[in-house]
Amino acid sequence: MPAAGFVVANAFYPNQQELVMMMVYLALAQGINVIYGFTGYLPFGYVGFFGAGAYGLALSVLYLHVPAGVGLLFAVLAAVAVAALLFPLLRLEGVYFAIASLAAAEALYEVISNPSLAAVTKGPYGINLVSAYNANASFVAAVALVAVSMGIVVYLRTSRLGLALRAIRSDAVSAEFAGINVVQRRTVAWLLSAAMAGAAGGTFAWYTSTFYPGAVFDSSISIFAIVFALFGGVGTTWGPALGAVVLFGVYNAVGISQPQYFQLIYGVLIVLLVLFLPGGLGSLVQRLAPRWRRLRRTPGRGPEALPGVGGPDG
Amino acid sequence: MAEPLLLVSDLTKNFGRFCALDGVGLDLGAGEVVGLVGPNGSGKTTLINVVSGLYPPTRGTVTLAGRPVHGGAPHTVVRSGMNRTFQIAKPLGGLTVEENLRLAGASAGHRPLPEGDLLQLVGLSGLQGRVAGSLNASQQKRLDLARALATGPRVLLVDELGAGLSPAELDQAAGILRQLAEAGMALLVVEHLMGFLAKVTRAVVVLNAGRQIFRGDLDQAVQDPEVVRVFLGG
Repeated sequence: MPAAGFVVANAFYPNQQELVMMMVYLALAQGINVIYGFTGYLPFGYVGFFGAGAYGLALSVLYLHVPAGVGLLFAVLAAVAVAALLFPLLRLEGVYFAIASLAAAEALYEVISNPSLAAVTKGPYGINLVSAYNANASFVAAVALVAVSMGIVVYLRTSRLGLALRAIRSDAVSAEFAGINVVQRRTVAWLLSAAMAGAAGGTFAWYTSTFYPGAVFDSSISIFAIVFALFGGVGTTWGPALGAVVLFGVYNAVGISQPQYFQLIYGVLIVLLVLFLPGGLGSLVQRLAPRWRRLRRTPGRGPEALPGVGGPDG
Repeated sequence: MAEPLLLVSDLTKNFGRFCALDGVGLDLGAGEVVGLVGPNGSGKTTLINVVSGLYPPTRGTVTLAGRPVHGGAPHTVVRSGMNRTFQIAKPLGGLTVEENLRLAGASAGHRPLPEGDLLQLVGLSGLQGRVAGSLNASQQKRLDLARALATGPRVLLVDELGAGLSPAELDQAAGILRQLAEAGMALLVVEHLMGFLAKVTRAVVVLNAGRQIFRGDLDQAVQDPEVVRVFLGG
């Protein structure tokens, strides 16, 4: 459904690049949802997988001469390989994990942008994929990215894997004694989340076609994805998607024309959210849904039923 | 005699230079209930933690129906047919009661009771939809027990089920444990409440400072000079 929304929006909205970026962020926010919302690991260095994906696509197109669509597979592979290399991080918890993942992303950035590796990675001089540029095809890839990332979250919300991950987030020891292979399930979530960021990075690289390493390893990408996911509400299907659309929309409305206000508006939004809606926008829907149902169940009483709606229980 | 269901031999666990378990041996047959008693810090919970796979042993073996299970992660122990409860209940707080049991039942080693029967057994009928974290302490203990039972264990390690329960709940809990034993389950019951334990079994093992100092009937235990010295000092 959100994927279809973007297709329709593309027909009416002139700024396609903005739409693609919104879709990329939607996928990243859902990737954060998978690893944080379902397992409780908050990766500040999530951008590392995004960058790995961007370079996975770029290098496979440049050196293996594969079509960019196939390059997306290499994007996913590159991110998954980085995630596999970082398995030991999962032994850490909470803030230690967050910081270690940030350090790992920075390390990856330093390696890729290193001038000594310019022969392979083009080092700090950036990537040029203009020969593979195809706005329509990469837009379609972004739409597919949204559909797949939504599909993954829907699957986790309804499958035994998702239930197992929520159990692990609740209490890893008890989850073991419910018969769950905690290490294995966590690993699956970690790889899945990395793959989503890798695909997002590859899509970004394809659509943008020229970029510097600093652009795809920019730590503000992690922060944006995390904020979007938290704003909408992690652990839900729609929260992170909603967060990405709303906040990225706000960013584009005010962030680019008036960057000084944008910081302020973002700050205020996040403070309000933490104070009044710690569960994210999604939790608002959950809170209001029962009241809405109650409202509809008493149609005959009309407006006079309304005062009771905001009663003591709400 | 047939091979025991659970056989623990020479089990030793060191934490750094501290020896929490020192060569403990134990065996349990189907339907057998053994109480594990001892003063605080004698190694009762450590024994359960090592036997259930939460900690690897420093030395010694644990076999379940002839198959070694020591050194494996808890989920492998669970899948081979042994589970445990916790002194302070640890239900999966973010999940509903029903989800707790469904998840545990999905990885059952042996055919468990249906969820409805389990809930009825532990007295949680009608609470399937409740989020486990919102249950009270006694209900969380029941859920902890039900979660363990949902995995269909043949051996159940019960860590202080009685602690914090009311007298009526204690009777009920003792009844549940007797019922499980009658159905053929082997139970190792760590307990501080001797009155409660006596309602479940006469057979006890007494630990002190990580060593077994007595094994036999509860009545003889209270007359054993070393047991008396350990519990009453002097």
